[in-house]
Amino acid sequence: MLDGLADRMNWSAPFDRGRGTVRRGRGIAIGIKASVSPTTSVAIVYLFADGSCNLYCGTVDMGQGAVTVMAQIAGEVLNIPAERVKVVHPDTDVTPYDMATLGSRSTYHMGHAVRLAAEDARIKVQALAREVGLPEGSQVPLAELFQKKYKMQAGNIVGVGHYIPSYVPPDASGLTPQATPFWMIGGAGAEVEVDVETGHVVVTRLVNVADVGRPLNPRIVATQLSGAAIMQLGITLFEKMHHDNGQVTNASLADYKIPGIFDIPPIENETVEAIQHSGPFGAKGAGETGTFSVSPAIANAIHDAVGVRITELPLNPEAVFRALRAKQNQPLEDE
Amino acid sequence: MSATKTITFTLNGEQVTAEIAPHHNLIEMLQNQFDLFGARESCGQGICGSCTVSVNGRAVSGCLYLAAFADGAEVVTVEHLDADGKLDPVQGAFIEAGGFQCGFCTPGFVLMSKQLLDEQSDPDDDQIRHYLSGNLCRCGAYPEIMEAVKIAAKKRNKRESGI
Repeated sequence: MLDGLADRMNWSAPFDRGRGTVRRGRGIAIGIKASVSPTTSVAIVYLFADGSCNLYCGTVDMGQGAVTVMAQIAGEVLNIPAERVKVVHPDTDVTPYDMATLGSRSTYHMGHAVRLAAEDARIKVQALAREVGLPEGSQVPLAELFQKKYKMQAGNIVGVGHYIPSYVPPDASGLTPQATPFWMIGGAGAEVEVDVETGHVVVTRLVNVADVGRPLNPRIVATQLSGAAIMQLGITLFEKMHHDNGQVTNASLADYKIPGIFDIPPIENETVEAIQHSGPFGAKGAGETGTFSVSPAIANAIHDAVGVRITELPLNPEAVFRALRAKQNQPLEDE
Repeated sequence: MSATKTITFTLNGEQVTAEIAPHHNLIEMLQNQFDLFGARESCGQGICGSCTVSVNGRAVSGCLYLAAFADGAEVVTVEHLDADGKLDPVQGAFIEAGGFQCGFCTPGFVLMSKQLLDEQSDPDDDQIRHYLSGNLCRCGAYPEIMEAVKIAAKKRNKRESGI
């Protein structure tokens, strides 16, 4: 991954350091994170008499594309197109248990549960085929199997799957051989321009390189990585939450600046394909991976540009200017 | 109880009337009286663009635009873009480019992009950014949105040249 980053950043090539009041710098960073563990996911695949398929799963799709990927997994096992799998949205009256949609856990944990539920359903379909006297491997459509058994469009098959990862709690010294079912690994590289008169930082290039296992839907994963990096870019540069005795005092979105379209640098995303052998179809979580390294990469680039090491976010003009003045032994007064 | 007023306007091509109070904004009226939820109030301050509605051909922030001002106007919401049974080229381009994750801001971006392309058939990156700078996307789909607008421009120009 570091190699991928260095290549993309042309790390060994000469670098323009800027001139006058605008100094240029570049930095890279790499981060790893565990997925929350141990957690459980349960899924139900329901095959109807007409051959249609519902998938009941509690993963909340908030834009990350979980519904698409879960349908892909069920479709892959059942050998039907993903678009024919109707994913039933989370509803505690209807959908089975899932720990939560967080911690980049859904593709891995719910993905396994969906895979197992679909495999369970597939075994039952094969049993039904035997029951109605069809030879092994016959590709008779499901609706016809039901018709043969019930003499009408009736019946159903329910496949259930649950997944609990192996996990070993930490011992007295805090060590465990199995802390998490998978690790997320994300790297970022940034090039910045720092205005030494104002402390204003402009990110002129942002590179994300991520190990996401085998991306089940590469297009969705690329958008996730890019979006995650942009959200982290906002936290890195702009988003300052003000508190007064625990009460947030930013009055509105006007006082809590999230990135707008003018704030987006040219972004490149690259996935290092490294199959996660314990994951469903080689996949693992990718939700947070794009966030890990953006802040340290930009902070490193600022350090490279103007020699100040800032360890608190956001790296807004005030923070950078204060650091520059402190470095010149002319610190500004506190607020 | 505040006094209400009856207004008449064109909504997505149809003549309609609505009973409104002076303080109602366009979004409240569209959601409560016409079940149109495509324009969504988010910041409520005209900063984020997710409540964008077209009034007399101009995009307005529905959260700041008083419903009373719609009297006699021509109002178009995102729901009208596929009125002929086909997605608008801009909508198709957003799908093609994956110009969203959660989709909450998308109607606003789509309406603004459409207005941009009505005015400027082949915008460059800076023009696109300038035009969409009043729309916020918390999922950070901006690079894909830029791509979507370019695809939409191509689609529309192809359609107009009849190729």
